[in-house]
Amino acid sequence: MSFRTRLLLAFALAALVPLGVLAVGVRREMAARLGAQADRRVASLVGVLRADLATESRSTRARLHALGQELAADNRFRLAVLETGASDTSDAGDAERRWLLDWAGEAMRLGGLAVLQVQNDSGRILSSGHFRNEYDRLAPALPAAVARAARTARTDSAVGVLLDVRTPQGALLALADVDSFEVGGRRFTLVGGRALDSAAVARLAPAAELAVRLQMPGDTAPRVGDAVVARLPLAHVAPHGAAADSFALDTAQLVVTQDRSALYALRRGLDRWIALALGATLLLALGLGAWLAARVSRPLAELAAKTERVDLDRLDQQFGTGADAVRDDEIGALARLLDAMTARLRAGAARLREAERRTAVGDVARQVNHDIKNGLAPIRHVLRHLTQVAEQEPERLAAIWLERRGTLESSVAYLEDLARNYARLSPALDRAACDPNAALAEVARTVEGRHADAAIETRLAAGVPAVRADPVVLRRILENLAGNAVDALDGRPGRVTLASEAVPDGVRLTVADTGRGMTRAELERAFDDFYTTKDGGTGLGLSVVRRLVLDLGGTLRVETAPGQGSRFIVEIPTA
Amino acid sequence: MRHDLAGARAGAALGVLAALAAVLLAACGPGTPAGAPGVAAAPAPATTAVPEPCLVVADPTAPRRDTITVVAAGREAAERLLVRQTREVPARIDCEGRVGPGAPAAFRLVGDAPVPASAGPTGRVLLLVPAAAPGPVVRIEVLRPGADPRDALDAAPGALLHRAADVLVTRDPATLAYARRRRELVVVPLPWDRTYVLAAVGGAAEPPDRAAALRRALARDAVRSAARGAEPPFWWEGDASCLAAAAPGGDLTAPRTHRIVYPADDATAGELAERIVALAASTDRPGWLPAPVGAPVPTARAAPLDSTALTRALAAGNEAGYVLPLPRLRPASCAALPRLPAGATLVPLVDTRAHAVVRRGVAPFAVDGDGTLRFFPDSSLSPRP
Repeated sequence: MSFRTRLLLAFALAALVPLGVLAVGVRREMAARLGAQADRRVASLVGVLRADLATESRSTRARLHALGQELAADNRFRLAVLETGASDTSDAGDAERRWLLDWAGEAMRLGGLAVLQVQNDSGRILSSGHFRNEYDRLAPALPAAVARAARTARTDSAVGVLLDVRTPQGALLALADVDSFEVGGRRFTLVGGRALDSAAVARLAPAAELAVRLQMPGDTAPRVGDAVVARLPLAHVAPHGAAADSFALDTAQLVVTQDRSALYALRRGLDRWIALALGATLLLALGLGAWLAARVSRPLAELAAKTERVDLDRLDQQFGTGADAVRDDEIGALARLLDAMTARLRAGAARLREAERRTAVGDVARQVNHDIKNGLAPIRHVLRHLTQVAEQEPERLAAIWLERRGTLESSVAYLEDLARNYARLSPALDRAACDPNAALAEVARTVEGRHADAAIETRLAAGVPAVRADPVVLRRILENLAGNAVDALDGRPGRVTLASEAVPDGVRLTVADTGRGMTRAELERAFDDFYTTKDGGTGLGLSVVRRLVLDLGGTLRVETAPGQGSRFIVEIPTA
Repeated sequence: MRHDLAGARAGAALGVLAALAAVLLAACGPGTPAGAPGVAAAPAPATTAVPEPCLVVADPTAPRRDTITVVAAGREAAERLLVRQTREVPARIDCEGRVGPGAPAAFRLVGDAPVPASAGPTGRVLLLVPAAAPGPVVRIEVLRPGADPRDALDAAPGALLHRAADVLVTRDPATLAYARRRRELVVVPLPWDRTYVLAAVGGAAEPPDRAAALRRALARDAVRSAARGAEPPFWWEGDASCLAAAAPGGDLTAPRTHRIVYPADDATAGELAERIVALAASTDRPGWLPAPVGAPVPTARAAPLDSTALTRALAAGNEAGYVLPLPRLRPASCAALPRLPAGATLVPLVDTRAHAVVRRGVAPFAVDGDGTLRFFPDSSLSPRP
């Protein structure tokens, strides 16, 4: 796992974990508080419902009692039911009977009731408000069922008696009660109540998210999304079977439901915001981590790449170049330390090479001795032969000279080649103060003369200090670089620029061309011995240049790209 | 309202008159046969020259009025009243059902204007003047739907467009009870003009005596307006062609509802339907109740329908029963009758009639057999001896 990946993961975890914990905590706290608030509202509503229904039942009971007393005191009632001594016949006076038939309806409307029925002691309906024309029907089971339900309600803590009663237009639900009174020694019963249909029940809910529903036996469950939060039982009296006067007692319920959709919507909204915050935080953390990783890892990677290029022959690698040179952080310090280390390595390598050179000089001296001996031996033989001829056969001296002249010339040529090759392999350093501009100008003229197609340009800075170098070596360095630059043009028109400028503690000499440039692979092998891309090249030019520069205590850098030319930069300490 | 707006109903009313003759009834008193109007005031003046049947004379000693304000309960009644005053009829039928000679148009319409709702309980005023000789002006005001008829008897102080009714025809028992307590008003019963029937498929015939007792019980206890047990003869029993022509041919095999339907604007029909539903649940259920009503008790119920829905229900013919008002006299045209379902039998229930509330001092007027009032431009009338 790379350093960058680790850094990104660390940032992501550091940002997401605390935020996630915060989000979960906020969500749980909010859900708990909202739930508690909803529970309080439900408890309040249930309390109000119980109180309202209890008040309603008491009110209904009181109204029925008052109506019964009023009816008992009314002479028209007495005349209607007792005049003939037969309360359940239709022989009473027409006026009183019609009054009685309409009485329940009038009393029901004035009393704010929805159900009112008067029965005599045999259970015959004398007057009915909710079903005016059901008079004379026998229904003794109704008041008995309501009375039984009222007793059951009291013992079972039900909130009232729910009566399912018939009207001409259909069924009607009422919160009912029963009362009785006596007239002329006969007992009459009143059954009455206020409507408690679904609409009236729905109006009991004071809050939009709370609903009160009347759930009859056999009704289905509340709709999906509603949570049942309370149930209030009601003793339910309903017609049973096909018989008109048969009633069953069971239990209905006032079901308080809560619409949790708002709470769920709030949670979903909170979840969305949490997800959005986590996502944004993750992106921000990744971005910040990537930026920091780039800030830290890229210079490290560059240092690693530069370090990878360092070896004993290539100790001119500069670590503290560009932005890294001015960084004041650990990366800058590391670059400077690496530069110092490579400087020490260069010095050590120079000393090592000097030792090697000295050793090599001995070997070369022996080789030169041997080679010179080899070259001088034919000459010595020719001279000895000529001496012998001159002493013994002077007349043939001319002929013998002509005969042996070729041997002399070939030996001399051999020695010249030998001398030239040795001079190339092991230049002698004679350090002195040199004018780099003069060296550049002379090289420019030499190269210009040799390559007429190349445009040779010199940019010589004024006031460039003298460097401490061997003039011949300096010239060899520059001639090699300029020659390579001209060769890089491949015979096509182009430009070769020779430039100088002063740098701290040294002089920078630049040889640039507009030729074919080098690939990375070519660049990596450019300074190897015997590596060449030119026909007939020896492969020693750049390696010799590099050694010569290092011998002068300088550095050599190359900036090149395929098709864009090359730029060789030599920095040599001042004198 | 204009003559040409009378439409089919007015034409039907004219047809009735074209087929009947007028009969003169001398001041119907307490001994008047059932169905004839009574006069709650003094007899007609002796100076009247032309005898008129079913004449109503409310207190001839009171000063006569130049304008007679008649309040009709609804547009249909107003149209019938207007046509009766402004069209010549070749024959008349009086309040006892006797056919007599026709009569020329006595009045002509000179004014027709709507009345703002804030002006009183009536919504339209029709002004009629005598067609020939000078005489009283007749104002016909149309009671608004839902208005209390008692308000028509009591003009608000300073009201310009609405006047207190001199004659009000109503079936509302509360209005009649109120009028009876007012000394300047006389309540005159009009002929029995409606018979309520239960139209249903199925059910058995009741014994005649039991049927009559049931009808009387319905009239006495179930219906709050003036009613009696339906009394034969019933014109549709001897002449089924009218109802047969109206039969739409519904599907007798179609499943039936358990509803007893009735016109929503007819209180008497509602009371009868309610009683039928109650009887269906009783142990001594009458045999003439249609079968579906006697099915499981909680399913039977009364259902009010507006005119459009009732027409559809009659055409469908799948209700358990229909409580409908039919004219007591056979109409000349069957078009005005409800379209009864195919195969339905008619069970007569009760007869009802309206009452005329008459202010003392109003010029005498006659009552036709269908309960419509007829006014006269002159006072030369007398009860037939």
